[in-house]
Amino acid sequence: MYNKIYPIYKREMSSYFYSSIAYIFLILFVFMTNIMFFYFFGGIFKEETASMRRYFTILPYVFTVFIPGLAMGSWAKEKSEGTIEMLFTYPVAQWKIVAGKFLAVLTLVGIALACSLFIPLLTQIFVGDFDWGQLFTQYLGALLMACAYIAVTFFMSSITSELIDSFLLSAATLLLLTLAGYVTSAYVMVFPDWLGWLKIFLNEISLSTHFGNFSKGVIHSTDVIYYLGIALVFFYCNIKALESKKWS
Amino acid sequence: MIKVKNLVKNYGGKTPAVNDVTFSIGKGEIVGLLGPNGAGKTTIMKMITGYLNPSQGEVLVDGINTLDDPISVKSKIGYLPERSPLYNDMTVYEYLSFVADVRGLVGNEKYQKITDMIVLVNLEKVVARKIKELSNGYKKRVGLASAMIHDPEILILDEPTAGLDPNQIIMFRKILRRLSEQKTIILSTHVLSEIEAICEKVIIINSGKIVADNTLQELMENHSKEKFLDFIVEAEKLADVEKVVCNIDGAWNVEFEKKETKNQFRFKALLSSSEEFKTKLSEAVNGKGWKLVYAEEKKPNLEEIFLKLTANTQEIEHVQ
Repeated sequence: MYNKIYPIYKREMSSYFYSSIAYIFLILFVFMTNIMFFYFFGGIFKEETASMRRYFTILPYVFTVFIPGLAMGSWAKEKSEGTIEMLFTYPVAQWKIVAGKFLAVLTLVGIALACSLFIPLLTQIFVGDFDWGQLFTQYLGALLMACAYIAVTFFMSSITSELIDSFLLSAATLLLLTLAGYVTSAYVMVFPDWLGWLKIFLNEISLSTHFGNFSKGVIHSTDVIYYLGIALVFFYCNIKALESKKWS
Repeated sequence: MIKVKNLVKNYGGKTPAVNDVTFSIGKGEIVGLLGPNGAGKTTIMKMITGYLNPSQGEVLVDGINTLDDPISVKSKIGYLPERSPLYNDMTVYEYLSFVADVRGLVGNEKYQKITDMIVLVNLEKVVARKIKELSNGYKKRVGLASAMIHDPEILILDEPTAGLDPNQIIMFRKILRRLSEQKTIILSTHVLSEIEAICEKVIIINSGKIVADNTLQELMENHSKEKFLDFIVEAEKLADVEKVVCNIDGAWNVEFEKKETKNQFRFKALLSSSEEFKTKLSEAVNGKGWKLVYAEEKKPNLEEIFLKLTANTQEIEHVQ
């Protein structure tokens, strides 16, 4: 299994780095998240605890733009350049091709997230103890959430042929799924009792609300299942969308 | 080696792109797939490679149905699509190494195969260059090298010489001739001389259907009784002559060949009824006050047979 996924993974990684997309993504991601972390909404310096919670709170919104930007070409570019024809005539199962591409994007997101590790490290050295258990949970949650965002973007890329269409469709879908939880906040919208079910529904499908527990340092099995479930459903849809083209 | 049974591919249009196509290709045969643009050649090739699934019918490669075990079928085939799509951001060596990896080649075997392919298609000079910097000819060679790297039993080449200059075409043919000693090759092309030079068998497709499936010798023999008329008309204007001779009954197709002199125009007519055409041509030319300078009946060559078999196509492509 590994020997077929790895060449695809390696090619994707080299493609991201050769085309500078990886560098642009990493620089912008690190720059934007740190600016927001340190200066937005009063900035980290006003907080009294040594915590990365603020950083992880903004992540769902950052992912909404950055992950479609990174993964929009996964299929759309292969289709527009015709290389998908070569790719699907190699003796490799489609799910392995999708998995190789998926892991490459996840690796880049992982590297981008790892670039923020300097904050707790410096805090530990110069300020004081950091809650490493909570931090581990936050990074784990961020990676699980990234899986869901990547899978949605991959699916959108598989049903479009142009990069811009892929980006817009992915970003719009992810924004809706992310904001679905935000609008249920009391200070955004008050739901009358008879619409209570809608509030619960929006909360449950939201990509951001399920991250709430992780950002607090708590692992809930429902949140893990939710992210993995979303990732698997869209992963499956991606494979089916690609297979359907063989019949069209 | 390859059996195609009642193959149909419907893209959703009024008529299927491939309509009830059946043929078989034996081990070691070199088969030319011939047909006008849009005839269905590429679609048939894509179904054999497993890139497209048939709407009806089946493709068996070495007895394996492409739908039942696509991975096994794909591992037996090397495919060069028409546009030869490649990853432009990779160097030639990186690309061949990637294809070797996905084809399951490892260790010394992998490096040996890459080296063999580089030598076989003369890529030594460009091996470290990015694919996007290469000419069309070199890109085709990279595509061919990647299609052959795993030493497949079957090679499927979709218009392999399209877009190449004459020198590159000659080189490509030499490579194909060398390969033809060991492999089953399906080759689609518009270039009839290529078929005559390389292929043993020809399958002619027109509007999604097979109109001929023979060895070249059989095809020529089958059509040896048919004739075409080579004739020159002397008149004032070419357009007037064309208008008249192209509408005379008794020919499948009448084509202007060239201007012999300022007022002499050479035509070629594929005859369905020799006597009828000749009589009516003579009457028409005399009636207009023109002169029939020369007329001779000849046996058709492959080009003329192709034109006849695909004569019902609305727009006949220019055949080289």
